[in-house]
Amino acid sequence: MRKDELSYFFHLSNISEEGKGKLLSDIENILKWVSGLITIPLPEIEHFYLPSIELKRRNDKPEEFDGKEDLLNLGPSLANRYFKVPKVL
Amino acid sequence: MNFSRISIEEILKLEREKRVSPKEVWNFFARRREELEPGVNAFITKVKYLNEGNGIPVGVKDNIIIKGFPTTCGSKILENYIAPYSATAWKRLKEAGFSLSGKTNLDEFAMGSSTEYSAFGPTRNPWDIERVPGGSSGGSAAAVASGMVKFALGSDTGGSVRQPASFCGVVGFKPTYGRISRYGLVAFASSLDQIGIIANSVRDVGYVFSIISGDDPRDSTTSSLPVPSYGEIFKHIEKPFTFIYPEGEFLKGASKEVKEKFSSFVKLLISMGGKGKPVDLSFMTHAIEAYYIVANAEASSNLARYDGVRYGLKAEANKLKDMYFRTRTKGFGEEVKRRILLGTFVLSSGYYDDYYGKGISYREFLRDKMNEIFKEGEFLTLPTTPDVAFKIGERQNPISMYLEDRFTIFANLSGLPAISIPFSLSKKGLPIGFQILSKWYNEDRLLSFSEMLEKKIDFENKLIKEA
Repeated sequence: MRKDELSYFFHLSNISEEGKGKLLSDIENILKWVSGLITIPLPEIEHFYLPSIELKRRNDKPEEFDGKEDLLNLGPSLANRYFKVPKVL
Repeated sequence: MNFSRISIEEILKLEREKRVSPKEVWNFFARRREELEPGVNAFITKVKYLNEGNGIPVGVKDNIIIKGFPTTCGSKILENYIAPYSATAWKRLKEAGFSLSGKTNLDEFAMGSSTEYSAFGPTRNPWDIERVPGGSSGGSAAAVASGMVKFALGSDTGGSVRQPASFCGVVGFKPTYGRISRYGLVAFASSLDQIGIIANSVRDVGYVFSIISGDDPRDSTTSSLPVPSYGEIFKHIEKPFTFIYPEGEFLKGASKEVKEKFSSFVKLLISMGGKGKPVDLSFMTHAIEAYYIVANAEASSNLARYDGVRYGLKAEANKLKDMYFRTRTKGFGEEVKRRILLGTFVLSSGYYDDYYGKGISYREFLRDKMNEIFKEGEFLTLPTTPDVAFKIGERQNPISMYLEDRFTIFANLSGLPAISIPFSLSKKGLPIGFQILSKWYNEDRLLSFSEMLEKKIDFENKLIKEA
């Protein structure tokens, strides 16, 4: 992994490259550090694990949020849209 | 009366018998808060007495939202954000009569192990204010340890409740993933995040756990398994009980003092009628690397929502893309940026299989291994931290900070319940805590076992007097 290649991820993360020198060195070191894991053989997984027993469908909207309060500086309908939680199943 | 030294149950009994009023209880803790908070900096937002409920004050980590209150997550990007609804855990506490004392300090978005990464200044350890309280729930642990609140909520993604509890000489408990609703907990790494409890005693932890845990239709990952009531949690632990502990190289990252104390801890368990079995935990060697891959991958995705449009800070710019860049560059601190960049990298095409794919494979492997390990004994004992609380500013290298979590991340990767209880004091007079883990959803026996140990250790009465 080259530093110029790594700096592309600033763009992907919507973070400007100001002061990128130290961040890039840190990230390079961390990637070296975690690379111990990527070399060990592991069995392939069959499913992604979530520790809870079952997934349940979520409610659409928080009970206390009545859509009238505009605390996020959004119109009520827009706020409602953002507070809708996607169905998991 | 020193209300920080008696249990929640006893305070409520005194109130029922009209021997103390809720206001007296509140005032006791409020006085300590007034006196100690300037030196400790445990809170981001403090609350005045509202004359309602039982007056027992609670600290709530500032990444758990409460309707009408600011929620900053320790970040400039959410500095003026007011929560429009309340987290389920807090709602349940409020319905039970508890009072909010304030929102406690944390590492920005719960990413850190020292509370030094807060945009609102570091929290200091009440045992030595030149040292960190641990993190990321350092404000919650420091508030409990200094007697400013009766108990506090934190969040534990890689040890963020247990590690500060250990550094501050209090009890920190992370239940099984899915036991406490994450609804209203600002997401860091959703498959690892879990709300936890910090208190002065295992008994108080059990009391709070019985209130806030259980099924929640608003969090699809909560378990619908029944939760024992407070009266049902604490049971007699029959002897011989079985426990396992690490042998060999596993503890090599711990200080000499922690290793010696851990050895005494194991001896104590055996003297109490335990059948201890040393086990080879070398399979856990790469867990910390897997943790930092999976956690940062999820963080980069979860933190994409802070774009200047929907929440908090918004930087001025003529173009939308420039506004995103300026908002996020100005709003996030260095550690958060580091983790977002790492997470984006490990999820990117070309590196996904090598990093993220490997991380989640390791996680499956670890969970299966943990299942096998618990056939050897009911409880797994580990140190909570490699050493005692370090000095503020001492950890400049991110990897050395990440290694603080080396003994706590297993419980998060595998979703197991885990508790840290104070065991001893170091030569410098700083607390050392040890962890106990058990199988999924075995919280009642884990808490009963921990209480039995806590009584034997008698940390508060014996060691504090000796210090």
